[in-house]
Amino acid sequence: MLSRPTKARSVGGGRAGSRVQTMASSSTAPAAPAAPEETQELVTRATDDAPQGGFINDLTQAWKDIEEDEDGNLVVGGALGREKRLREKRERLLTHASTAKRIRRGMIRFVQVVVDLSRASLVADMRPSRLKVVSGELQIFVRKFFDSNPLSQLSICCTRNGVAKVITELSGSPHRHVEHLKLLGTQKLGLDCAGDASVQNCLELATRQLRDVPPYGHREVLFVMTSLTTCDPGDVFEAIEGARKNRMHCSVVGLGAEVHVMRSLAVETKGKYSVVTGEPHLRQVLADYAPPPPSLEKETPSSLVQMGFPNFVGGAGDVSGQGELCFVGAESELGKGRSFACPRCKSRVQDLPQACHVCGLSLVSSAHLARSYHHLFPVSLFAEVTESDLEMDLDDGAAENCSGCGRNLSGQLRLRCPNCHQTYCITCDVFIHEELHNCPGCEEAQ
Amino acid sequence: MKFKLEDLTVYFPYERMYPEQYTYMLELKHSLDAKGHCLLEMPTGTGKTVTLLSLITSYQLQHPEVGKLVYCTRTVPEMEKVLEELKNLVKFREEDAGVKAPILALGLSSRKNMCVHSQVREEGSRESVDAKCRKLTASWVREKVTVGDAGDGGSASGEGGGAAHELCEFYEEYESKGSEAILPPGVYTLDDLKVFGEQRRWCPYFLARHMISYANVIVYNYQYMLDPKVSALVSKELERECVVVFDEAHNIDNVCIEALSVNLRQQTLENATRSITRLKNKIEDAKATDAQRLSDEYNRLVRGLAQQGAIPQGGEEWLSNPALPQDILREAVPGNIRRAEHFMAFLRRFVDHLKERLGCQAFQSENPTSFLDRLRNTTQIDAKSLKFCYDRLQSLMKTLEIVDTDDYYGLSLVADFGTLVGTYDRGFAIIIEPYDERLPSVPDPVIQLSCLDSSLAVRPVFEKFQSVVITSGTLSPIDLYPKILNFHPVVIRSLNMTLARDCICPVILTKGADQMPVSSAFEMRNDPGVVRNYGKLLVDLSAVVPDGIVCFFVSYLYMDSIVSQWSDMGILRDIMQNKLVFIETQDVVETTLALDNYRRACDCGRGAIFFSVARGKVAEGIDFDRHYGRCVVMFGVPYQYTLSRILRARLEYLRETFQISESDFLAFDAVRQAAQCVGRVIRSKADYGLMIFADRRYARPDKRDKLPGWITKHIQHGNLNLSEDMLIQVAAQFMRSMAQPFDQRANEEILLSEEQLIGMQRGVIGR
Repeated sequence: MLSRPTKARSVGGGRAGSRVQTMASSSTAPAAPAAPEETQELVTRATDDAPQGGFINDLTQAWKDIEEDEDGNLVVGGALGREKRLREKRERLLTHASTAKRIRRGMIRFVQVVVDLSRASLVADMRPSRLKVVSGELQIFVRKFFDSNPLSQLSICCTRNGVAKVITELSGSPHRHVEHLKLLGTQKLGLDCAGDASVQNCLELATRQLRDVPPYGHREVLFVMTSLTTCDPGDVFEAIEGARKNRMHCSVVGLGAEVHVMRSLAVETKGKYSVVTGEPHLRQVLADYAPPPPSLEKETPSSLVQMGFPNFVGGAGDVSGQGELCFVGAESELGKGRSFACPRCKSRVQDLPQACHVCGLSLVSSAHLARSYHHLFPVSLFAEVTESDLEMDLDDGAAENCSGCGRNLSGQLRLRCPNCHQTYCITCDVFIHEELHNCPGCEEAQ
Repeated sequence: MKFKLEDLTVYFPYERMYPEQYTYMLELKHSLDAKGHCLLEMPTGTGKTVTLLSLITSYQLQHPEVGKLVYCTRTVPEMEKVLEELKNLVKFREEDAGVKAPILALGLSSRKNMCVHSQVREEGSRESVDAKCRKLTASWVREKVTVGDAGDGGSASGEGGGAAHELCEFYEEYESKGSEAILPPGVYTLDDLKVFGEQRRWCPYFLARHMISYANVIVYNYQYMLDPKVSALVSKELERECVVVFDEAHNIDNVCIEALSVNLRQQTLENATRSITRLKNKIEDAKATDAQRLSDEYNRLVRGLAQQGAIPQGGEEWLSNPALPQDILREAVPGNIRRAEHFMAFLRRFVDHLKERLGCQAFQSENPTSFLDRLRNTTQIDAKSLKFCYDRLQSLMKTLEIVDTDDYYGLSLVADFGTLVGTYDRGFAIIIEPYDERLPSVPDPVIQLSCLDSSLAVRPVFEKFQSVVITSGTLSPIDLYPKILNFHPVVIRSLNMTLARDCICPVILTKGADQMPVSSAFEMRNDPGVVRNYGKLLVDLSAVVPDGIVCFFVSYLYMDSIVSQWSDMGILRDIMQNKLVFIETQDVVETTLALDNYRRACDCGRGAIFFSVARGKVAEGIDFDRHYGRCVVMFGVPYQYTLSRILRARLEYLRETFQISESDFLAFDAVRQAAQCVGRVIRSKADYGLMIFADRRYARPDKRDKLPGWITKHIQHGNLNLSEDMLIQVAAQFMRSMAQPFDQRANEEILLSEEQLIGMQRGVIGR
């Protein structure tokens, strides 16, 4: 459990932290002045400008969103609309951040994602089908999840024909999960949609999967349910009780409507329950799930966690392409390729983070540790510069242009970092807080 | 919260109140001020009960001249709910508002629900509990035991008649305390009374009966007020200043009619004949052993009924006149039935006549006058003696000291019948049917004495008490009630519901996905197209509505036929893929079991559909709140079986007496049933539910206007005339939007705080 900064340092995060911070800023900094505007534009288009409500029966009048801007270009949603959305985002950030600093977070998460492959997933009220939408959104979610929680592990299972089946074992590699998510709905691996969902079987499976997780791990189950029924062999409430006793937090994302048993599952296990109104909402709900959740002291007691920082021994980069033999995956198969050597027993693994196959030591890279950092040290909120402030500052000559993207700020909302006093536009503000997680101005000052 | 409503200080147990509750109180207060009756409609889930209780108890506090609050409910669970609310209110009054005015409130129910005697309460039916209780508490039984104890010193009676004459210790204990047996102030539910009774070893039933005269609030069943047989025992003592409330009173006319109607079947008459024989034997016995008693009775009867006080009073009262108090003649019993054996012969002739009438092959309908005429011609029984049938029988039973009264039910029904026929010549019909119209092959002869005028039974209540409040969630169209109950309310008001979000979604389905109209009208109901469209609706709904769906059909017959057709078409199989199906039957036990399993299926997420019948037990008394009913479908318009003779007779009577046209009354009756059915799904403002009226006839203004205002207000314009596919989309959309997190604060915003109330008050006065 890396909940407190002191703990994180004790396992050697301090050094790595600074390294990664520089890494992160150097990788994004060149793009920052020019890119945010464009990338942000694309992102917002993809997420927010999609027709409200992804269910096809909702009446959409997409043409009404098209407006002409002052240059005669056609813009979706219009500048005003975008500004409004960004503002909303900022508001959300504000409420989020006001509580963020004081909260203990479960940084090492073990998440079981349950995908509903019942008959209801074939329903085509979302284009092209519920399943396709869910699988697409889950792929985005998986990447985002590992982005936010590099130390965490995830497993995917599905439920169909009244049984639950593991698709991918717990691991920290997003690629593997995404590859399998792409297969959902196909005959391959028997992942086509059929029969009913069974919540009880899923819970029992998840309990089995997560039972052996170390005590500092935050155990979670995320149900993505398309069906409104569950067909269980026994008493589902016993399974819920079992999950609660095993300190698993079950959250449910439902498509369609509120189901009593799912709500009680979420309430009992202190998870979240949400029903999505459309594709953008689904993405939003899943995105909200990505940052580490607050954790309770009594559930996951603070403890020092032994971690190893393995050395890279080469592999994929070799000209020969041979590399050295190493363990791959949960079944400890031998493979070749790039590998890392455990600092304690020198056995080699292919992916990080992982537990060493021989001595069981948690192997992470310092970069992973550092990337988990921003949850503990969020970028401080930028203050809004009011008109009166502006008058006072005017003689500084500063704040005319956004120090992120360089755009002129006259007539726009200005925001200022309290530490480095750089001024940003609202687009950059959102980008810094949501994606970058460090302030370029502060980095420069260092 | 404590606030001033005009000049009245009202104690309300919650911090805030809904605007409609405020209006409700205001209207109620006006009618109390005017000492008149009122008719108020307010949707369920808006806290009607607590509003009523709060205002009336506050009114009692300020105006001590107002008598008791008599709160009539339909079922025991409702009664308990009222008392729980009252407990809460009293607690608030005493603890937070510091009012030092103790309230005594109690529920009263039958012996079956209140008995604490270990053996008696094990009895199955209400009648057998009553009978068993009488066996232990009748005055002559008790006398015998005490005499026996004194005479034989205990041991002999223990062997001989001891077992037959054991007494109820609870009743004895209660009796020995006499008038000192008093409940301390407080609110007592039935269970509280039982606990209290067990502690003190007092009989809770008789204690409650006794305490009625001291109580401020009495909660009991409709029958205790409306049925003359029961009300004579229980409600006679209540003073004129009482406030009488009929809650959930949308069916009050039917209750009134039932209270004055008697059905006689073959086995009833057989039982009556047996009883007569048995009574005859007893009379012979009595003559041989104790002739004095019979001649005493004869003398009493000569002197007239009014002086009957000579008969010892105890727990034995069983019979009471079925006719209304003001219609009972206070004269001496006619000479031809004064002697016990003459009376027996008289009854035998009467029963024989009834048997003969019952044996007829064709349907007959006549009014009491012609029935009596025929009776006199064949058996020389005249109306006058018939009128005293009941009182005479009562007197005889007491004289003969008969306690196993449940064996004499047939005879008492016959006596009921006789008295009613003899007393009333208007507003009743006698209908003799050799078989049920709907099942012509099954002979089931029945003589029905049917009351046609619902105002008859309720009239004494309106006359006796100065304020009668009739209230329910569905009383629309509200102006029809004063007509059929024949009274003049000072306040008539239908109130709306303020909602923070549109948590009810009434929709009218008029056609299937193939654009063919759907309806349960007689000529269409068996059309395979209609059946298929109804089935498809349910299949599609089962895929978009979570947890529970409740369906109401117009009759058992229709339900049976449509379900069997669905089964043939494979529709049931499709439904079962999404949800389990449960069906209400006429068997209460079966239905209870089905309901139980339905709830379990809803709880565990399997989802379920409950098929039920409008006007059935489920439609009247069972709530499908929260996930137990996310959607309710009313298949068709639940008209009464219009070919029924009784209904025909009643319609004719209504047309002649009250100038209510047949179609108006039928539509009113059907729509109120439909509204009652769909209202089952929403029991509070945090709840939500979809209400589907699946019949094209609902789209017509004459039906729609009869729905309660709080439903019509929420029908969106686009939802008035939907086809099946459109409806599914509306449903899916509604379910999604209702599943979004709901801000409880929004609900609180529409609540009025104390300051706002004061503000409103000023506004009212200013105006």
